[in-house]
Parts: sequence; C-alpha cells; structure tokens
Amino acid sequence: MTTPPGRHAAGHPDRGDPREAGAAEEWVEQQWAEQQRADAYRAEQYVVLRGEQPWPERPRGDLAAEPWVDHTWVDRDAGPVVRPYAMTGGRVHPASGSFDVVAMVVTNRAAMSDLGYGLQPEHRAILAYAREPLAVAELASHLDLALGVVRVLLGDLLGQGLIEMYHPPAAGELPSESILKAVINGLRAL
Amino acid sequence: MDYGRSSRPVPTAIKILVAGGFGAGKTTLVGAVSEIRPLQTEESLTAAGIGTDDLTGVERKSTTTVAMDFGRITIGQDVVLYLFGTPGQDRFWFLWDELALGALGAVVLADTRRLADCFPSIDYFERRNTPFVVAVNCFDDASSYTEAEVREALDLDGHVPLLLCDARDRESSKAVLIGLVEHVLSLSTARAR
Repeated sequence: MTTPPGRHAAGHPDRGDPREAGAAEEWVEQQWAEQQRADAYRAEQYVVLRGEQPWPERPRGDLAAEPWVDHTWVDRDAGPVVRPYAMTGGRVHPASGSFDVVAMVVTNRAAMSDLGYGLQPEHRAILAYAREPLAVAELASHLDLALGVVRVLLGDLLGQGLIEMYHPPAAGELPSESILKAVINGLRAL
Repeated sequence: MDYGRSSRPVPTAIKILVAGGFGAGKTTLVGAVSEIRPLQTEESLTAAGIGTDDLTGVERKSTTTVAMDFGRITIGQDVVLYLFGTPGQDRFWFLWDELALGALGAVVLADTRRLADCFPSIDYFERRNTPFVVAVNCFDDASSYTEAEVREALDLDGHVPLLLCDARDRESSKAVLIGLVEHVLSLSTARAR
C-alpha cells in the first residue's frame, strides 16, 4: 500500500510511520502503566509514612460516574488554573519600577540571549508580546491577567534587564503644543 | 545587526479618560473611535494592595475584580492615544486616581434623562484640576434641552466646553475628542502666557 505524500508525510525512512502497528496506542499504554506504577508507589509511601489509606479508590473512565467532579464550570469558566497570588509568589507590589497603565514596554532583545532563571510562562509571554512596543494595559488584556499581577511580573523582568520601559509624560506635565496640535490634526484625518 | 532595539520607534502614550454614569455610553464612545475592538483589563482589588478604606462594602469578598474598557488610536508614528472608560461604580473611585494620574484630560458623558449620574465625575475632575469637556450623549428618547439649560443644571465653569454628541457615531465621537484636545491646548497656551 502506498501513501501519498502529505503535510504529515508518512513513512519517514529513519523513524518509520508512527501510525503503523499501533505505535501511538502502545505509547499511551506505556504512559498509563507508568502513571499507575507511580501512583501505586506514592500511595505505598503514604501508607508507610502516615499509616492510613491516602485516598478512596477512584473509578476510572466514566466522568459522569464521578459525582465529586463539578462539570458545570469547565475551562475558562472555572477561573484561572493558577491563582494570581501564586503567579506573583504572594507579592502585591513589583520588586522594581512603577508601571502606569499606558507606560510602554519593549523587550530588550540584546538581553534575550541570556534568559534568566526563574522565569514563568507568563514572564516569557510578556517578552514575546512586547517585541514591539506595547502599553501595560494592552499586555494585561492580551495575557488576561489583572493589572496588579502584570505589574509584579514586569518588575521582575525590569530587575533582570529583560525589558525597557518608556513612561508617559509625568503627571501635571502637559504634552508640548506641537504634540497636541499633531493629535488634533491626526484625529481630524482619521 | 542591532538586536537591542525594536524596529519600531516607541511612541508617546497619551491617556484620555471617558467618564460618566452607568449606561451613559462610555464603552460605546470608546468603541466608536478605537482602532481596535475595545479591550478589557481587570484590576484585582486584592492584588493591587489597596488600603482597607477603599474596600468598604466589599471587604468580605476576597477576589473582587473591576473591569476597565479601553481603546487605542494611533496618531502617526509618534503618538498613541489610549481611551479608558472609567469604572462606573462609586466604590471603585480609587482606580480613577491611578487612571487620572498623568491623563491628558477627560470626557464626561452626560445623559439628560439622568443628568445627576454625571455629577460625581464632574466634581472629581474639577477637584483634581484635570481638563475635561462635557459631552451630552443625545439619546433618541431624551427630551432636548438647550445647551444653556444643561450648562446651568451642571453648574459648569464658563470655560468648560459642552458638546452634543452621538456616542455611537464615529465622526461625532471624534469631534468630542478633538474638542477635548483643543480645550487642553487652549489651557496650555493660557498657562504659557
């Protein structure tokens, strides 16, 4: 039997076709068995340490047969998987810097080759979004995170020199007349 | 090759607030002129580390969030306007302080059917010396008042512009923003003298 070449070209000479001979099913079986061994081991350790059965036997397979699982809130409705305070390690204020909602964030590409340790997925998402200048409020909206959380994360990145901040004109300081006139003309031209 | 900078120059961000009572058309106005679908951002009260005074009435809620709508207008390469619809409820006024800090000015949307709803906004910006204009959103079923009547009811200072608008209409909303920036410009020229 020949397979026409496609995007997921089958029959790669080095690897063999993963769809052949139930390779995927086999892999899943392996993972499953490994998971069960790990579960059993943990349960055993728990009993050894605490001297009691750690958790009731959980029937596998039928979701509807699990009355303790609330299926009304799933995916996004269930709220964030990681709570905001966990994302910030309990911090409510950024370690460095102050971040107005319209302060512009730009990823410092020169520093990107030397990515620091301890960066969370959210930190990395900020670095990805801010390759082009982006306001703090826009970042928060794209990441679907509260402003307070984003500020803490930005503080971390600023501390590591991974971003540059461009602040809006200071409070009480009006933009120059030339900028104001440019804004008026720009609005008229829209 | 220069990896240090983005290819795009970093524009100056200018913040404009859109205030007014609940249902006065804040988000509508932002949506009418924004180049992007109005985005939403949330401020989590707990994460923001707000003083307990501000949480009066919501102190039993551990995670209260308040949503702000905002839009963007790019003016050439150098300037980006951000329009923020201010959260309507009184108890979130502390958010305004942060929003109003460094804002160019504000548009107060008034609905003549419920004129009193915009009194707090006007008080707020007067107290803070934030330049603002009042835009009367002309709802279809609202009885029409003359500008003088509305001005008197709001007890507006003579120099504060009062404009009529339809927040759903892009041109009309643009005119309101132009009115605001012109007002700011005239204040700044007056100050320079």
